[in-house]
Amino acid sequence: MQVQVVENILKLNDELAGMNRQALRKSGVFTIDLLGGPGCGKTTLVERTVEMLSSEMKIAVIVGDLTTARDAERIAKFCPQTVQVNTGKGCHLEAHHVRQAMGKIDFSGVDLLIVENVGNLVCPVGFDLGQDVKVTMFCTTEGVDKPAKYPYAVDAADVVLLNKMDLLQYVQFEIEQFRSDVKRLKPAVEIIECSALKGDAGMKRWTGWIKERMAARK
Amino acid sequence: MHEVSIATALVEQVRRHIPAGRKLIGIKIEAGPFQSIDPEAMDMAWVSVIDATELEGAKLFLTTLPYQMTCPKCARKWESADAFEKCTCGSQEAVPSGSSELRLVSMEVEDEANVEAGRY
Repeated sequence: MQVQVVENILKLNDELAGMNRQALRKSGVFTIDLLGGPGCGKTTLVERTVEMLSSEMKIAVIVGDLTTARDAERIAKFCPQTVQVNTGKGCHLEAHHVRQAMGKIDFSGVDLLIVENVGNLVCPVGFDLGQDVKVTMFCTTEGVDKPAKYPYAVDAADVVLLNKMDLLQYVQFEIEQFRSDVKRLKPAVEIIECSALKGDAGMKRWTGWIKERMAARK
Repeated sequence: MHEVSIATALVEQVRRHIPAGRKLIGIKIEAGPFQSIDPEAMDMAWVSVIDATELEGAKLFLTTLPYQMTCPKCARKWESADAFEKCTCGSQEAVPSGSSELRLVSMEVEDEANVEAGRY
């Protein structure tokens, strides 16, 4: 006997993510889900972002890794409300991880929550966490084909970051190819080229983008 | 790797939908190409999460859906497994969409309810 279902497999995750979103919005928190491959500079981006914005707003950070608290230790130097989530064998964060981590954060007065996902361009993309925006980060040292090879990560992104622009001159990276592949997958998406390490003009554009999005939601 | 999370979610989903007392024979799922599901990894994940449960032995049938391509130059629409396929008009700017579906479509269950005394 056949039983017709036709239902999203990740329905429970999506429902939990919806609850996270509702709770965060009620507290007036704007939430970013940051995706990118291992080593593309996500933690450095979070450090610099917190450093650049902390005089203007109160920020909390949730950081996901398979193991170790090293990223949280790094970020905590800039942001006292940093919670590390260890996923064990899990290659991405799910809504329940964020839900648990949210319980460890005092959201009174918090304006911005940055969730640094596990380094991975495949698995995290389909799992809604309750974020307002998804940010996908690439870098000039990992090869120009990443957007073409991981199209969902581009399709799901509200903005695409290209990090390590300070190293562009030392590596073979056809930046025009990168731009056209991203635009092909998602014509309207903005690409911000930056160096999180140097805190360059691109980083000002990035923090400006966050503020624009936060203002637009209010 | 996300195949394990998907398989785990599927088990919960099947348990919510299966008619009481019926044994599961198989399930059909559909995934858009953006989901990047590896069929072998998906099968392995499914077999391992149902091992030693009441669902053990049930088969998983995965259909990977194609990209829905639209050419901005000539407005042609077609389906392709390649997100970067050129249009027949020569344009290399076709945009892939409708590609992130992930759903349980149907379940095949045994016809007769299992009435073995005390099992349910």
